[in-house]
Amino acid sequence: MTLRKTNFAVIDLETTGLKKGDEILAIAIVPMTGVKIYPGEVYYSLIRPKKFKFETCKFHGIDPKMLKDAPEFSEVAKIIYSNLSKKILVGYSVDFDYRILRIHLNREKLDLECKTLDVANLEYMISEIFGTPAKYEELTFESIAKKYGLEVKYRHNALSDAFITAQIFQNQLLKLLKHKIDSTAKLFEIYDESISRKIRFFC
Amino acid sequence: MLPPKEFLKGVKPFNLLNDDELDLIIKASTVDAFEEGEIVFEKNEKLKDIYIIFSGNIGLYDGEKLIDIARKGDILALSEEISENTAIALEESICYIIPKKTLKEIFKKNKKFEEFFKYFEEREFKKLKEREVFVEDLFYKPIKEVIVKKPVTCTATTPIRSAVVEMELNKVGSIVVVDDEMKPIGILTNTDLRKFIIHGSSSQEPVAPYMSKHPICIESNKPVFEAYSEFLKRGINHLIITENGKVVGVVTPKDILSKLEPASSVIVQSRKILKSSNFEELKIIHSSLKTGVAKLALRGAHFYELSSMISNVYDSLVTKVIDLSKKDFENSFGKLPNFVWVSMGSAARREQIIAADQDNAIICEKKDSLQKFASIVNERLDEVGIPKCPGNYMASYWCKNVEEWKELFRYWFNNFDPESIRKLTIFLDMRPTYGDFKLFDEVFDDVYNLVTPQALRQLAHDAITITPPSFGLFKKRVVDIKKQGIYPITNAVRVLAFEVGIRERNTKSRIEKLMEIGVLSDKLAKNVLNTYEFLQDLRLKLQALEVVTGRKIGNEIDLNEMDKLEETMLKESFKIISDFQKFVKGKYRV
Repeated sequence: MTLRKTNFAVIDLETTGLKKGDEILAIAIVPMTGVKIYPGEVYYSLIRPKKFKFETCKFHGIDPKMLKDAPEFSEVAKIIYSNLSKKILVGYSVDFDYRILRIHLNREKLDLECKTLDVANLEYMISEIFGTPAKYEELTFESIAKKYGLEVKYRHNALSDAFITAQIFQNQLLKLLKHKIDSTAKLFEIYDESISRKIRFFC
Repeated sequence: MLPPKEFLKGVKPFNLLNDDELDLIIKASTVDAFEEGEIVFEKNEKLKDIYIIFSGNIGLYDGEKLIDIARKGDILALSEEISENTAIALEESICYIIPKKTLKEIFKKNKKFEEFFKYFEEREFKKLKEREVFVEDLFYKPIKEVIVKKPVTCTATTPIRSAVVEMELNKVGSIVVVDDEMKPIGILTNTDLRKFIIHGSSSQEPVAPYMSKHPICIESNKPVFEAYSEFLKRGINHLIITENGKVVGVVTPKDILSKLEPASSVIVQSRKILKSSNFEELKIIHSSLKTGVAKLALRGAHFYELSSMISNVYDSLVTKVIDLSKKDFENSFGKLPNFVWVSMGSAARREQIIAADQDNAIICEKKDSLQKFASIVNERLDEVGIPKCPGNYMASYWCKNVEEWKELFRYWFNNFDPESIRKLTIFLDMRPTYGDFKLFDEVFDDVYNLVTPQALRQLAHDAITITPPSFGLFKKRVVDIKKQGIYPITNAVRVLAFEVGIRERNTKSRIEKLMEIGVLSDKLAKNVLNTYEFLQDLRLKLQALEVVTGRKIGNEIDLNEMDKLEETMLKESFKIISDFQKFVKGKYRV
């Protein structure tokens, strides 16, 4: 599959916490085909959790009152599933989001099986290609965004974060294409190798 | 807010849209990325979308030639239906792509947005800018800044005679009637006095029955435009200004106009020229005129309006200086021969802006002492603030009789060396300003008969030698708007006008005549007119800044210091000049 024709779904979740049992409070999905982003087809929804943890409000800024009329996950599961299936999921710490999503979808008897690309890992991989592996502090969401001239104004708003992530990914795709990495097969080959090096490097 | 919305809000004209309209645009848009060297669109492609550059650089090519580079915030394909150039990403670039169809839907909801595109398409650059200029300072100052005099007040029991004496002593047209806390309870104006003259019996009567009750008041911190609209709405002539309810002044429409409209000060000053009888005074008047005009320019007055005003002022100043000098001269040396004083260059075309040099000459019957007289006038003009011409195109050097002038023109028209062409570009624009205008006609009737196709070709060739700049090719993005923008138009228009015997000298009038008789198509003529005014406006502003700040600024503009919209308009202007030069090239085969 050539990268330019591959369908991606850039995702970002806000959750009640960072553990497996935590619940989704908001989800944003920005669709991309190759390097094109489609702002008109962005999906965004708040989701009413079964339990609400007030202490995490300060991270996601979602007011419990806003969630009162939001749908439960079961109501939007199908549409989320159809927005994601058969696509490569892209995000910042996307594997965490992917895991939580799979748990939620499984409860609705939906089995999501996707490949994932983490923009932080990709950034590391690109830095390797360019000869100077990135340092840890260069791989935060803010520093990657800044590198590509993107302004992060409303961090931890799923919609805004997902869109900026999409724009980061768009820039990264251009860098990959420049280095003749133009198919998903080639990309994942290098990506997986790079991740293993990165883990060794940082741990 | 979705980041694209943030971005679009900062790009003109999308800042004119409300949230719903922006949402519509974002829904329909695509964010696309281009690799270095990738084609964004090709020449002659039908353009269904506009491209707003979010990051990177996109080069516009005419064939192989890079003619412009578009950067962040620039919009491509804004007005053309079919692309005139090929657009290629010069580095990795990201664009917001918006279908024109969606823009058209928004036109129905948002008039200002629609107008922007309309004006842009019609190259009505002036109107695009209008909106911004207005908001600046004109009407937004607090009304208290307009108050000229301390309030003149009396109480309800003051005898009417005392009140009127008070008005007379203070030279005001109204007196505010206040209670013991200085709060206004009425106003007595000249109009109210009529009531007293008709109905009153004794000048010792109190003012109360004759005053206008419930006078219109406005708090002193309110903006001037609110006060102004009170005048318009209520048709009154006096507005009481209060602070916490207490009278602090009275304002009339005249006060507002004279404070806010340097135009009126220009009018006042130019009247003073006529009455003046010494050079020292003329110098002061000239300097305050310059400031007045500069202020008008900075408040957004446009070139065509201002230049004709400046031209009149300049003429009366020159006339006055010649008049005074002539009296002095003739007192000592006897009567001067018959002559006409002519202006050349921008003065002749009635296009001078603030800081014009002297460009003048004399046509006479016989020279006698005129040369000596001319150098005195040149000296005096310099003294009052119209500097001497560094190229010596001044009457002291160019004082010749009718036959000599005819001979000179004949020589220039028959010898196509660069010097002759230069002389023609200067002396073909001549306008009589003082003296016997018949002498001027005598010379110029002859000049029109000298115009030959060969001469026109030479002049046309000269007019297209300086071409507008290409951008993006230089790191330093600086243009000389006079040399690269204004001169090419003035010179080409002059050639076209002379060919068909148009006697107007003003570039705008020449273009209009050329359009009328079909030498220029309506579209080209209108584009050139708009471009000419836009460039002259820019230059006017630079000169105005020079006057106001006292710094030397010149005619150069750095594109990096311009706002995006202005930069786009400037580039469009140079495109039009290019088109115009192509037309001239084709017409004269040069």
